[in-house]
Amino acid sequence: MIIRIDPASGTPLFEQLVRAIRSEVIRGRVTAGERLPSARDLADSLEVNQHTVLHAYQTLRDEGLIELRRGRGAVVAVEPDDLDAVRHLAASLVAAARERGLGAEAVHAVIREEFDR
Amino acid sequence: MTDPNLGAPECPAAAQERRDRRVLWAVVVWLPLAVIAVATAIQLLWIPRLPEEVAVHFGVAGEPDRWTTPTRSVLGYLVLSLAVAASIALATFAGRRAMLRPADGARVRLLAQVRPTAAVAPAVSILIAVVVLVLTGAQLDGAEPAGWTAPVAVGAGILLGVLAGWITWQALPAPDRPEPSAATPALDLAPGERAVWTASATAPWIVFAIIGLAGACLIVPIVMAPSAWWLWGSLLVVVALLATTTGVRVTVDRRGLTARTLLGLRLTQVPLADVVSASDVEVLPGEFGGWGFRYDLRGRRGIIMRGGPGIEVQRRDAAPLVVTVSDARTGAALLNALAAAAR
Repeated sequence: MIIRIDPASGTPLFEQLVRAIRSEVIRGRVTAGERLPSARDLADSLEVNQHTVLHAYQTLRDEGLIELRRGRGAVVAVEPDDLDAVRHLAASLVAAARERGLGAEAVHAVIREEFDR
Repeated sequence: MTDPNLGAPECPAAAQERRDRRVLWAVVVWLPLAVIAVATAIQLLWIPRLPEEVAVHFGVAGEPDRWTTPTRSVLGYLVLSLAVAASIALATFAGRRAMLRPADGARVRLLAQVRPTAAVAPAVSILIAVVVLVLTGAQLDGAEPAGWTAPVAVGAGILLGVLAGWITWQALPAPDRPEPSAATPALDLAPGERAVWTASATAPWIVFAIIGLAGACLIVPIVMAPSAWWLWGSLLVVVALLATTTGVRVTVDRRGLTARTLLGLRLTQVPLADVVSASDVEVLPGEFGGWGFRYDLRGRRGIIMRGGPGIEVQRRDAAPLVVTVSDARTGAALLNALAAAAR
């Protein structure tokens, strides 16, 4: 798993961390049950505040991608099969949207609305 | 008809291999045979000057405790030294075959490969010959072997044997300095961008099985000698520690490459300043002769958990380091990028 952050970019560091780890999980480069580095180690490696990493880990936990356990740290929680099922549905959703001339932003809004319901 | 080796001038590699084979035979077969022949001839010439019974075995205090006729003594020497020479020769030639070629197809010189076993052959035949000759020589013309004869014989034998082994070791070629594998292209890092890569490797089930077996064997001392708790207690700790080294986590970040056991115990670290280049390689455990922390024939240091992808780091002041780990390509690419940025 590789995590890259750029302090010069306008995106907050914790948000960059979330995006980086999320994309590694979604791509299956870390799989269910695998342990992520401890918040302290990751903060040390990237020269960021440990709270920044914890904030990112909590966000990812709220998304259901990882679990945070006392003593065991952050563990990837999402099963590859579940990920595949959602990806499959997303593919048909995107195909349907394209057919109807809807762009990515519009579809994102629809999805967000559905989640907030 | 289309054999490329026919007619065409022989390639230097094949010529060297043939030369090496001849040297190997000289060291492992002809030299020991010559030593045995000379020692046997000397003993045969001595037979008329020896008593009817010669001492051939000595107790711990140096006093003779077994005797035989001189002819039998020579015969015994001949059989023993020939058997030892034959087994060393067998070990050398068989060991050469058992060694796997590196996965990347790199050539390893035959002589460098068998150097440790080959150096033993002349050493042991000289050791035995010197011991026997000194012991027999001390009994010439009716002399009684003194108490110091046996220790002196063994001491002189070891001294000359080690000397012969050392000379052979020096004469045989060392493994070539390995050709560094082609470096993995560096990852594109923006100036100021920070990155960390981490991945792990765990040993195959067979290693777990062996450790489980070792743990199971501990039942014996626990049952047989429950009072020796300090013994099996410390053994238990060793087995438990061993179990935590069945996995390795490798991290590449601003500090360089770090390998830790699954418990977080640091095994090794290569600081960025020591990194010359990194490459992703395919590793066969056979190249390193097994699993664990090893050296291979080309002098590489290895942390080998299983076969498959690994990162090879060329270090500034040390032998190359190979760590098996998944996703080695990304790790090597990042290490190259970070090392280049640090320079």
